[in-house]
Amino acid sequence: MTFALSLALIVGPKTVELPKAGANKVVVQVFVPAPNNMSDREQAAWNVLADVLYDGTAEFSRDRLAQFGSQAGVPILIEAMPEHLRLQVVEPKGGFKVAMQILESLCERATLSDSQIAESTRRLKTLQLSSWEQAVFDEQLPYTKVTSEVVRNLYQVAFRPESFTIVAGGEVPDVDLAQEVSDRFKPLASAPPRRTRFDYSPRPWAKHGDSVSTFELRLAPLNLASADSTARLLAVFALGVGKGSAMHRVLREGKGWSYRQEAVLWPSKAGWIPRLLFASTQVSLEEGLTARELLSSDVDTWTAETVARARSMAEATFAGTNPLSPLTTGRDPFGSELEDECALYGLSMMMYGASPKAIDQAVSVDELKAAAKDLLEHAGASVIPRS
Amino acid sequence: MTTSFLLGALLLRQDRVAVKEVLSNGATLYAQRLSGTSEVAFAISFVQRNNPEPPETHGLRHLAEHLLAKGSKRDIDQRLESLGSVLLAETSRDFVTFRATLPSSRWPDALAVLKSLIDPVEVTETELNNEVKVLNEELALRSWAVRLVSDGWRRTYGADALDPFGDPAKLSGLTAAQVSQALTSLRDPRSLCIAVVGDVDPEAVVRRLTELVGTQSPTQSTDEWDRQPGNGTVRVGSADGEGVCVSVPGFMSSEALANLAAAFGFRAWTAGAVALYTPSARPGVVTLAVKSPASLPQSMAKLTGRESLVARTGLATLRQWLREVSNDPPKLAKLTAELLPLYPSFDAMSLSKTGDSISVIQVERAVKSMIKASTEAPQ
Repeated sequence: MTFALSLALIVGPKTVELPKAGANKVVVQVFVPAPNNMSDREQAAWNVLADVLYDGTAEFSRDRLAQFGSQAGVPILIEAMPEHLRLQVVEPKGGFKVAMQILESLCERATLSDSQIAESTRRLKTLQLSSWEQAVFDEQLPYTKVTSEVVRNLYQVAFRPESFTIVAGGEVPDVDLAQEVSDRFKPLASAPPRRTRFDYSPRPWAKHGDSVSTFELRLAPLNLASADSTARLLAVFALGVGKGSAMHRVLREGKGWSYRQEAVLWPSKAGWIPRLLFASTQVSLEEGLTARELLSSDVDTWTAETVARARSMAEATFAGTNPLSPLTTGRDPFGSELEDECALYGLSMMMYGASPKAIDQAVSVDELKAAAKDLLEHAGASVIPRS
Repeated sequence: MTTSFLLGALLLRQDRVAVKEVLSNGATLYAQRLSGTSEVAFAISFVQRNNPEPPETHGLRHLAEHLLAKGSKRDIDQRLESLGSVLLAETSRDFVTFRATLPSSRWPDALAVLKSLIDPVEVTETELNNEVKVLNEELALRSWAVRLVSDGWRRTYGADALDPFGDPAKLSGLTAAQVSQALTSLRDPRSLCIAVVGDVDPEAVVRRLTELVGTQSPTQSTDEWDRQPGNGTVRVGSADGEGVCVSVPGFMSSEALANLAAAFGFRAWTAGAVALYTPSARPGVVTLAVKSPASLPQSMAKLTGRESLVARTGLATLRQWLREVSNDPPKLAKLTAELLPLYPSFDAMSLSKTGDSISVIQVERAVKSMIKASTEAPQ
């Protein structure tokens, strides 16, 4: 893999280049970090902002965005995650400049009209999420409190070119990407506006609308750009990734408690947060919360085969060939598409200013067990009960 | 062996070649070299050849999929995942399919592991009871879109179009012996198709596959069954979402692909929309659905007057998807394993050609038909 990155010398956007010889498309992604410590109201507005960006810009109407943005057969993607927003344009070979024009327009001159914001807010308010989506994406948000003012304020606060990470992959023309980006996304001269007031009113107690309860063990964040994370990363794979993982063997095969039980690596500014999640209609809350002890007991049985399986699964994940990848770069599963690879490198650059490389070190069985025990011991447990 | 031939016609580029064999026990084997990739994909499909399962054991095929996926020695996941792969399993109306993808050099190891999917399996009562509990859990997690599609099938093809998921309550009374019998029947070599696609020598792969499955004997009757054409386009809706279900002839028909392109077009132009289709040589359903309640007519109405743009977007997406399928080992292996037994002339070249032969006008017609259907009240 050819990989190049550059940090603009002053305060321009960070850039990552992933050129692929023979590619017939170019993928350009912009990662926009969310403001720190957003309230639930702002989080709802953040989601509305992503949704309403599809409605157009000063230069591109909604129709033109859909038309120009899907020429390679891949529609424009604007996706809100709690701590960042990803904008992606995929163009056929030779379309790098078109992609950059669209992204620049979206990032600097989005229309954001009152009527568009009201319509997006209405749509998101009534969006039906499955219990699993609710557990992973935590989106029982107060959309009723979203106003145009909050959405536009967030756009002005967050869309600062100096905080962007821009990834170009595939058929990238022979240009100086950092220069191209800094020419197009110039740092704004003015200071960011003040954020509209926080609203920290407590969120109502979350509950699923169906017969499913979801249980979670949230572990300490991992820095995948640090080789020191290898043992803890492999421990996450041994605990929750794949059908040979402890969660699958203990909770599904052993207990018959759940159909879906897995580890998720969740992107945050602090690093990738490992989250062990399972859903069940039958176990009580007390019973479900014993998962930590059950998994901890399983760790005692681990062998060299456990290490080998975890390492193979981790390698397959970073190669994009693990269909049960825990990496959550967006709403869709992480896979082997160029878009996914761009997202992984973009997020890594945004988080650490470096590429992912955390499976370099050798790890013994004892080290793996110790890492897993430590992660489990310090995990925060939570549950969203069934109704 | 009844047939054995080199599919020279499959040469999309000079470096691609495929071998297909239909063994005397009825099993279909297929291997294709796809250069420019470092991986190899396996798809093992058991085709539903005879009548669909009866209501009294509704879900038995799905249960069988869960049990077969463990492997005859119950170690398939540990072994496969140690090779950096994962076994994926899926039950649809016409197939039970298992899939795995690995680095190309590991194909002999993978075959040795995957063989346990077609070896005899004995099921214990404990395993059976546990798996029925797991099916109940799976049922609770079914997505709104899958439930809508199920409803669309019922309305389009009538009460016989039983959902492939099944009814766990009907399965709780089964004995382990009954289920073991069902597993034997499902694994019949006449129903079996194995497709291997990647950077491999196709002749060597087919030789090895022949050694693995050539000695198995058929166990079930050869009564062939086909689904009768469906009942046009229906509107479906629930508290979770709304959709339009269009009955289409089998995959590779221009009608099916034009409707799929129309659904892709809507998906590109409509926030939160999903397009669903399970490719089959038999008649099926293309579904376009949106999540928010009561927003389908409004979403569709916005596209009135833009049908041509939607059609062009959808056609570009369809062609891109077909190109990807033709060049992506996992996608091509799955489609081949599922279609080849029912559609013996299927190959990657005809797939691309069919996509290229679809016109914007055909897709636009499908778009208009979906818009019209969206204005009707859900039945």
